[in-house]
Amino acid sequence: MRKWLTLRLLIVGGILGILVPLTSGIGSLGMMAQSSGELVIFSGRREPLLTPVLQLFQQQTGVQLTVKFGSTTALAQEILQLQETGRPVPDVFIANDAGTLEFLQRTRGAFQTYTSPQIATMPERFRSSDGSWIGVSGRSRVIIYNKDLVNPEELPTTAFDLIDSKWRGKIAVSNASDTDGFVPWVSALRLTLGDELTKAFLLKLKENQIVILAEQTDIRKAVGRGEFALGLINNYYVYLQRQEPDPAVRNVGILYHDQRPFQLGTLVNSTGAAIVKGAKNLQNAQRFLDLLVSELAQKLFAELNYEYPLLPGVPIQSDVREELPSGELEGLKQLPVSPADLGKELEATQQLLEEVGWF
Amino acid sequence: MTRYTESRVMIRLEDVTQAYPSSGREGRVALGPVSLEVFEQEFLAVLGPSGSGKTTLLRVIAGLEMPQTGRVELAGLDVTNVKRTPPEKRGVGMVFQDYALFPHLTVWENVAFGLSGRNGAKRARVEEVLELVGLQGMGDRYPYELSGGEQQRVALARTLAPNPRVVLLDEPFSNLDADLRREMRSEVKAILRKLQSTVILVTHDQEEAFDWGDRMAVLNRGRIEQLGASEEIYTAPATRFVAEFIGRADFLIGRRCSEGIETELGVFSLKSSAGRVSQHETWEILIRPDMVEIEPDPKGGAVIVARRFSGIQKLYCLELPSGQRIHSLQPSTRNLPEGSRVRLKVLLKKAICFPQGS
Amino acid sequence: MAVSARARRLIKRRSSARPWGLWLPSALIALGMAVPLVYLLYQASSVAPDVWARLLQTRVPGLIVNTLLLTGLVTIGALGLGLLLAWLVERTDLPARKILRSLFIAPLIVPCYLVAICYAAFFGANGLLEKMLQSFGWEMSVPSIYGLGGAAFVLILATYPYVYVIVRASLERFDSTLLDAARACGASRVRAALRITLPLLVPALSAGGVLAALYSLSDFGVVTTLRQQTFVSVIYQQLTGRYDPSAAAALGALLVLLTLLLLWGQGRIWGRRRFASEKPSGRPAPLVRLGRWKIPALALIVVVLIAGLLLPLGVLSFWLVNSWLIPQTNALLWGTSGNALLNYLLNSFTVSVAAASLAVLLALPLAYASVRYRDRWSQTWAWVSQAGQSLPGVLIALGLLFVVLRFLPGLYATVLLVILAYVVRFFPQALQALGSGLAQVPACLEEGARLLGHRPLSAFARVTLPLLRPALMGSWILVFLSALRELPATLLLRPAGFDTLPVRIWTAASEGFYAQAAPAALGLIGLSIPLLFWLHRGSSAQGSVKSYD
Repeated sequence: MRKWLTLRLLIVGGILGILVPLTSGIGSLGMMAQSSGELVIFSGRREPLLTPVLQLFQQQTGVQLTVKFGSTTALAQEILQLQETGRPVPDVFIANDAGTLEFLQRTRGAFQTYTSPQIATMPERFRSSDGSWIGVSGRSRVIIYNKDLVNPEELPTTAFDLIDSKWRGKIAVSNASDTDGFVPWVSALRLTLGDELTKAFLLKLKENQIVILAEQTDIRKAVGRGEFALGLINNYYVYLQRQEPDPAVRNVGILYHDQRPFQLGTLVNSTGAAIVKGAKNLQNAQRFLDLLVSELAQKLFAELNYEYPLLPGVPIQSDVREELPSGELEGLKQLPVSPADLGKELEATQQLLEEVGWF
Repeated sequence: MTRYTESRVMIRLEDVTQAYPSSGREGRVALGPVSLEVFEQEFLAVLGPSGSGKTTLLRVIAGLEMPQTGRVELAGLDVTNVKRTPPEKRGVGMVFQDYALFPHLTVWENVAFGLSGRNGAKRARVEEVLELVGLQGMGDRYPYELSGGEQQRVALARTLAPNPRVVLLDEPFSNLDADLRREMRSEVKAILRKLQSTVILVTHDQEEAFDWGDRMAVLNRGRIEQLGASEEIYTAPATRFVAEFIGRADFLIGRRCSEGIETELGVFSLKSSAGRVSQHETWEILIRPDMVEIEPDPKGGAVIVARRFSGIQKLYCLELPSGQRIHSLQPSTRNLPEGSRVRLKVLLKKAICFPQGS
Repeated sequence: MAVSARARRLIKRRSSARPWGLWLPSALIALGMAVPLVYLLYQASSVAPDVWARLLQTRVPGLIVNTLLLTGLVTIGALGLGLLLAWLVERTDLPARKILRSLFIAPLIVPCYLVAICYAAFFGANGLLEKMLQSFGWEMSVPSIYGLGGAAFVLILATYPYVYVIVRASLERFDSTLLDAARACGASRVRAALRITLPLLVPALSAGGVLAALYSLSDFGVVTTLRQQTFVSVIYQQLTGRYDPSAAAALGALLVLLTLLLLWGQGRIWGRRRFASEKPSGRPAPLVRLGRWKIPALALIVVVLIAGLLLPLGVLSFWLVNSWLIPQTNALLWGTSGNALLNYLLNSFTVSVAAASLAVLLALPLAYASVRYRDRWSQTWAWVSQAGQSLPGVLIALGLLFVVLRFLPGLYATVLLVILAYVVRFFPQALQALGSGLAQVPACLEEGARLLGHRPLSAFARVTLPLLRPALMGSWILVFLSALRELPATLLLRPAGFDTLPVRIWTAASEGFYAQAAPAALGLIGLSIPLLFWLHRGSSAQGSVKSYD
């Protein structure tokens, strides 16, 4: 019977196309989470920054990992929707901004609490009060500058100097979706200065033709290429830029702004991880969290990603330490806010940015 | 023909040839060499089978093709060079076989297309021409909203609007059905006569050609085989092709003899061209069905093998003792059964004959 | 009239009798295709007024300007370039026209987001171009590729082939006696071109123009890479960067409105006019001799081919070589948690096969109904189901998300949802390809089979289906190719652990790991080439890029 052959092929194609991804090992979350010995992670941290730790965990435990990378906000949204719809949720959520975790926990109770002796060794400022999330690595806001375009003496000392017309069109920042860099910094400014002053400052920046890019990676690359003289960015991006294969784009410098007397200080923030409520592989999730705050993982974050280790006793990477004023995190003049504070302000800050047209 | 001897020559072609490159997609029959004179206000019909170069002839005159050799004159002016005298500068109008109406323009806009000048004068002229072709009030329609006959009128109106000296008609009636064709033909003819145009009509339909022209030309493989009055071409075809192409023709084979040509139907005396006769042994004599008289006769030499009824007339097919077949045209009222024997007589003063195999 | 009411009713019922077995599924399929769009509009209508007010005050004016500027530039550019190239190939004595004829559609093989990525890396500050110039000792900065100009340029390169294919087909069918007629009416060559040729190309140009405009309205990859803010890029940002999707829904509704306006405008252009003469003439128009214009024409062609094809391919090849030289970063990207390149390839392949098969299967009854029973309803169903075609992938994903979360939560974050998005988005492609294929199979063949004693279904299976095989295959490949290259909807809808090839390429490129993206990108291109040329092999005769009307 050749006459229906074409249609049969189409039907078979359709069915196979649907079944193969559902049943094979690379399949969807739903199938994966059934058996033990597995761990599903949603990561708002970029893939290259997390991969070394994932490999470490796999080596140590042999657990099969399924990871979805994406923007922290989008993944957070997905987790909430998975919980609402009763679909299988991931076990661990890694956010590039601990504030997001606090926000999710506070508004939706998205996570389950977990403490262990290992976690208890972390400084209190970098874990949630109810044990729903832990900080993983620290970072601070800095100005990245292109050494070919700017002399160090010319550099502003405070972010508020960026409204000077001499920087007109020469500064890159990130947009209102950048929840681990620019947005928490604005939240911190709001908490410190109030909404009115912050808004006025942002408007001045816009008047100065500041260029808003989508992501911090874009900023470091653009400054490295010499498209912009300055960029507002998290500190470790400067060192990542210096690792670029092309030597011509490595010539970037780092400036810790607002460190002088009577200046506000910069923002120190942290990434974070939490166990999602409804996680199927609870044990593996807990092991993974313990690993994240272990000395080994903290060293990896410090050495490979140039972040600040949060576990007391783990040294900051040597290049980072060298350029850090006073050589340690505590020596940095900081805005007096914690990740938990920032989480509460997330929505209001995005609203404010929307109002001033920060896009 | 006599009417024009003292008239001015409007179109003159001298040894014009037009060949298309034989490679590529257009491997078409060439035109020429052709020489032709068309007089002012003359109606000339050009008859030929498809691919005989009729349309090319018109296109050369219109300036849409540039001839490779020869000379084209319009009203005494040399217009051979298409670059120097492009189509738009010749004052030649052309009606195309498919009318080539601009589908995106209304009737009014189509007719006005060739007009320049002030709007008022333009409008008046368009109205005038539309009325001439009987399309007043249809100016707002689009071509696809018209019937075939109406489209034909628009095409004519568009061609006539700029007052061309010469009108070329390229099989304009071939897309109409038979009745409408006859009607349109006489109408168009009347209009063009009124305007005193010089007209060349190209067609593959004999009836149309006979009915149209003051003169007609028969074109075959790019050459003019014969040019003359319609009747002359029918009764005295110059070539075997013309004889066969115009009207129904049978050819009777005969041999040369002292009095003329000897056939199984008797000896035929010859038309003037006796000089050529001597060179050939075997000849073919043109017999037209209307020349053949038949009488029923049981002892007659021919047998009716078929008959075809076509309304007013009946066409009988007769087989001669030698097996040759000729036809006879008889009024329908005459009724002879198939298979009956007849005696036949050819009404022919002078035989038209062609050497066999020519 | 002396027809009784009863008789009239009977006549009405008789004449409107329709095959319900065909009509009902068609209606259901069509409505199904339209659901995401309708639900998106519904969501937008329930967006709070203050959100609307804020959007209209802050974002919307600038966005509309930005989006329309880009769309306008791309449309004009694509029209100009497509028309010029079609004319050169069809109407002039340009050398090597045969080869160029198919080469001009070659830029279609590189997905436009890849072109944009390559351009950003090539023309960007400190990019490959500046490096090359420096190695020759020339210090100069290249004008910025970012923003409106660059995005428009890349999108023109991506869209002109659509205009080109349609216009060329139209030129090929062009009735050249119309030009003769115009000349014989006293029009000069130039006037004939302007008054006759150009207006008669209007349908082709408007169809091509609308394709280009819709393409740039819905583009995600190019505008994101080249930093031009349009509705799509902002909606994507809203979706991924905010918890409240209402702003995205509102912006999405505005974009739908913009698209509908565009389509409505296209329908208005010609009114009662017709543009095709009934019988195309067999007489080919003489070719225009280019003379000394031959050199600029060839120069333009070289530039177009380099810009649209050779440059992206060159950059990708350069990265490919680089990726062999630095294998460790390769492992970082392609080797994590057991996921290798092969897996992404397999993912892409299976969802595309599923989407193509489903789309063609679903399109078949609808195409049949709309071609064979040209009644109002089947035309409506066909029209309704076109929703996906004109809408950006981002919007389809958004609409589907709304629908699934509200009514079918079990589908959320499954591969099935990705497949569904592909089917909805590319269904119109299948429908059009099948429709034109069906139109070429005369209905009388099937009627003949009926008279020979076959029931409808059997007649269809024995006569129409075999004849339809090329069209089935064509529409399958069309959808398969589109699905294989789909990016934005996949980015938004894919479940964990299910990345497709384009998603990985995109991620790698946005990390700046160009070298690592290259093998996958070239693989994707390599897979597309034979399929694309198969699709376009007959395009000279029929202009296989479909218009939207």
